[in-house]
Amino acid sequence: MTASRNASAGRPEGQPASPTLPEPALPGGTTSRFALLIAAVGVGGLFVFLEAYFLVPQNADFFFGTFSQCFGDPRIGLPDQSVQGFEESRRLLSICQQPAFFDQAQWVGMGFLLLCGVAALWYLLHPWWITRDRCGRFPALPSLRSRLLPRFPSEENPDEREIAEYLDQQCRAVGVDPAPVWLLDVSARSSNGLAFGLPWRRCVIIDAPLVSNFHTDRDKFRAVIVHELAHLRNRDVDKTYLAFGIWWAFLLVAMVPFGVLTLRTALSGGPPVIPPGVVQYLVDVPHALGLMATLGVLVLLVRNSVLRARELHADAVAAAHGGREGAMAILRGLLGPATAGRGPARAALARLTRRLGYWPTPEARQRVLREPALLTRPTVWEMAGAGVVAGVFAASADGLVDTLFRLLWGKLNTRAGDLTVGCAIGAGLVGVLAAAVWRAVAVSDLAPRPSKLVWPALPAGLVGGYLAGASLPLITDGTELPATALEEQGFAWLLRTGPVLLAGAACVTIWLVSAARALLPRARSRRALYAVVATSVVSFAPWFAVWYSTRRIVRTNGFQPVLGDAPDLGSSIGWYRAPSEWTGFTWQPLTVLGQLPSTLVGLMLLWLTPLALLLLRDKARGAGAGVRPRVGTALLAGLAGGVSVIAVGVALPFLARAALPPAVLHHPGTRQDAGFPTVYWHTYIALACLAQGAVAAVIAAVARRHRPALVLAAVSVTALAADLGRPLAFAAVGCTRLFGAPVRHCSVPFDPEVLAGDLRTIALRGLLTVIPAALLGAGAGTLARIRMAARRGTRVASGHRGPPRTAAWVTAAAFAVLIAADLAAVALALPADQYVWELWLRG
Amino acid sequence: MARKRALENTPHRAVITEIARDVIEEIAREEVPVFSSVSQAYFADPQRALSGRGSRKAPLGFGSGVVELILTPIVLAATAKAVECLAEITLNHLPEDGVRAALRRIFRAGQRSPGTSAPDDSAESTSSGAVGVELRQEDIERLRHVVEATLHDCGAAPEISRLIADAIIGRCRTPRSAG
Repeated sequence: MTASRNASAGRPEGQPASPTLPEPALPGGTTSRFALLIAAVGVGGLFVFLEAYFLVPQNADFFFGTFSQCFGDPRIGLPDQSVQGFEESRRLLSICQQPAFFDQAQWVGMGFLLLCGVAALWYLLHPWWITRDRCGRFPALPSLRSRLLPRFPSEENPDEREIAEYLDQQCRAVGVDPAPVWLLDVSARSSNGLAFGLPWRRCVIIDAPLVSNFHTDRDKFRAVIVHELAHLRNRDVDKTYLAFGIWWAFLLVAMVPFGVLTLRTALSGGPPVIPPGVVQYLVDVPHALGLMATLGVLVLLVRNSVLRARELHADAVAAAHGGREGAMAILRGLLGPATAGRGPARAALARLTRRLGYWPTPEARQRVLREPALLTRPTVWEMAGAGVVAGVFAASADGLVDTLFRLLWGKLNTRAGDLTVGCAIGAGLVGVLAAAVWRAVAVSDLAPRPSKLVWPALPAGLVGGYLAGASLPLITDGTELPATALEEQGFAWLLRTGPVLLAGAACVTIWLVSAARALLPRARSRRALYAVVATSVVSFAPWFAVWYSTRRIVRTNGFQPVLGDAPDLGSSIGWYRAPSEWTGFTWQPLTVLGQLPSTLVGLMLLWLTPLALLLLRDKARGAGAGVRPRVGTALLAGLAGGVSVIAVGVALPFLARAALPPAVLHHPGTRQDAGFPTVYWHTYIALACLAQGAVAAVIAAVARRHRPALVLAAVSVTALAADLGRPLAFAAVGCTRLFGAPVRHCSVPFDPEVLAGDLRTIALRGLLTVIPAALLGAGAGTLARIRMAARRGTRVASGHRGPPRTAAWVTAAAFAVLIAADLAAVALALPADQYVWELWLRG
Repeated sequence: MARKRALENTPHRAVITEIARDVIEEIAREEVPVFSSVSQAYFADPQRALSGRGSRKAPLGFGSGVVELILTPIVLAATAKAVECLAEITLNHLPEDGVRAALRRIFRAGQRSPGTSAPDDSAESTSSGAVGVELRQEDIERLRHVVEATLHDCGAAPEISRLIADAIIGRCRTPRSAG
């Protein structure tokens, strides 16, 4: 290399080029943001289209006219005063109303079709738009003329050959194949580049002044070129211009027409036909415009976050390929015009606009270049945004599902519809949380270290955003009569349902953090991430669906546990009455969860996925006991817990006989009054739950890593053992004639369906003791270790001993038994579950 | 459009291009790779080439807000003015078809390095046989004034204007001293 080249490249003479740093392998979270944008537009569009439907006079005429005709039918308006009569009336009403809802669904469908079409058209036209010149008189406006953008450089031209070869070399280095078409913007007065183009013709515009930097500042030249190539390699072009297309489509197809229709309706005094007594669906003007602005701002902010993330990611790739020199070059290139001389208000507004715009601020870019980990780290705002999008969708979903039910089955929405929608929303929320936690754990060891508050902040942001978005109808609907169950509850629904959702999100986060910490250090590909996300979605989405279906219950608070009935006989015995009521409690979310086949499977996956992946990788790499989880200990502890339940269960008849009078023991119960057998069964279940809690506390106290998975594996063993021991315990009941049977029955009753149901009950109810016990055990164990270490004067870490070795076949056999038991329980319970599902569907 | 066509078909385009390229090689060598494209753009639409509107801050660009100028368009403009000015001067002394050859000789066009002989202008000699025009001092000063005025109109800084003017004027033959 000649001296002049060294000088022009900014390196001292004789010094070779710095080696290229490896590319950053940290997840950037840009794809999830793009998915969030699509979701935001879909959700916002749905909300707007549903509301706008009634603002068109013809639609309102048809819709309400259909309703009027239906109620004019005497079979509907004046049904027989019997259950069958009302059922028939409801059925006929639903069928009669179908054309109205079909019309509404068509309207919404056409809206989305138009939205997609406009977005696609914008995307396809973006190369034409990019190459427009600016208007001579009004530079802010584009001209119909295209700029002069000759192809550059040419290998035939000796002056351009070196640059042409250099560009080819950079394409190979970044991994862009085929190379883009390079164009020169001869009228540009900056050193920028610009990537654009459709998939079959990618282009990069190079500003003419940038070419000068090829000889005077090679690092800067490379930084800009690699930045643009990084956009191509990351497939940013399609996502970016689709993001713009989606935004413009949302604006033109959803927001503007909605605003125009709202104002038109307000000026004209509303649709002419609103039958008296029919609930008014319209929103009033201020609320409607507020809704429009809120949704528009939401979509815009999400779009801009997508674009900012793309730029930062490209910067990081460029810096990695250019090394330190490249990073310094980017920092020099970011120095823009000063903003001095502005007033404080204008300066603050300018700062806010820049921060929320689609370009990251120079400060943000510099921070990411210095600390690439920041790119990966999720923010609370990101989670809140995702939550708001999901919440707004939920707000629209109620009406949408009602419409779909009427269309497809001619009936009102039932729990089945809520569960289905809830699963979809839950899958999205859990997936977002899982990806965010994974990213946070991935960079938790990198500087700057994140605050410990990030762990609770992520689920709190997500839940807070969701509750805010789902409350949108309460804010935007100014009608007098409540139209939905949510509106009947008012803002009180937040206090009623919010804490449960937050607690659930916290549990999910704890599991995700543990799984990510266990698997990330060993992960060489994204398979571990996909496994964790899939497991969390399958396991936790149904939980959210149950919460979602329960929140609509208005008359009674579905989240409040209901104590069982104490039997009339024996209720005067204080110590008998209270446990009877407590052990016989029902909690609607648990009841509904018990009817879902995914519950047991999900619980199983929560321990199986992380432990199986860990064990397989340890085996493949021959890792020592130091990295192997305490599986053996967990399995043994679980078995001990189960055996203790069986032992107490077998002894329980004798204890009961000693403590209670025969009249109480022999009371079989009636339809209105629980008898002793029911109390006895509840007591056995409660014992199993207590044992699970004890096992969870012990495992959480002893284990230092992988606690959630180990605890769940251990309590699964306890639950299975307790379930299989129930026939033994009830054999003792029959043998001792505890319930007053005339004849002794010492045989062990074996009913697979009953066992399957009991296993589900024990596992689900057990969670109510497992979760708090595990938290307490973890806290106690940590405190004990700290104190022991302080007493011995050694660091906590050095006191850790390796877990006991367990033979691989034992572990595999135990896992196989647990898996088989869970799957068998699910299969055996299917006939009974199916009956319940039909009830849910029928309503 | 007529003006556009006129510049593309200007009779002195080749001379202007050659001189401007040499000037760029002398004072801004890093712009040589883009000279060909920029000069084509200049002759296609000089107003746009000189307008210097800068780039839009578009998505997927690099995002640098710093304004940077290249010298090629203003060098072309200044050279064109210089050539135009000298063409007027030489037209007073020579027939029109001899002007081009005279300009080439004045600007030593075709001489790329010291010691290289000038290209053979015999094919371009006029019927009258005269092939060169000696520039007087006042011609040089007028030329400098025109060039610097053009550069000022293009917004060039005084130091740059001086540099370019010196480079262009330096290409002219040294005038004979009077008397």
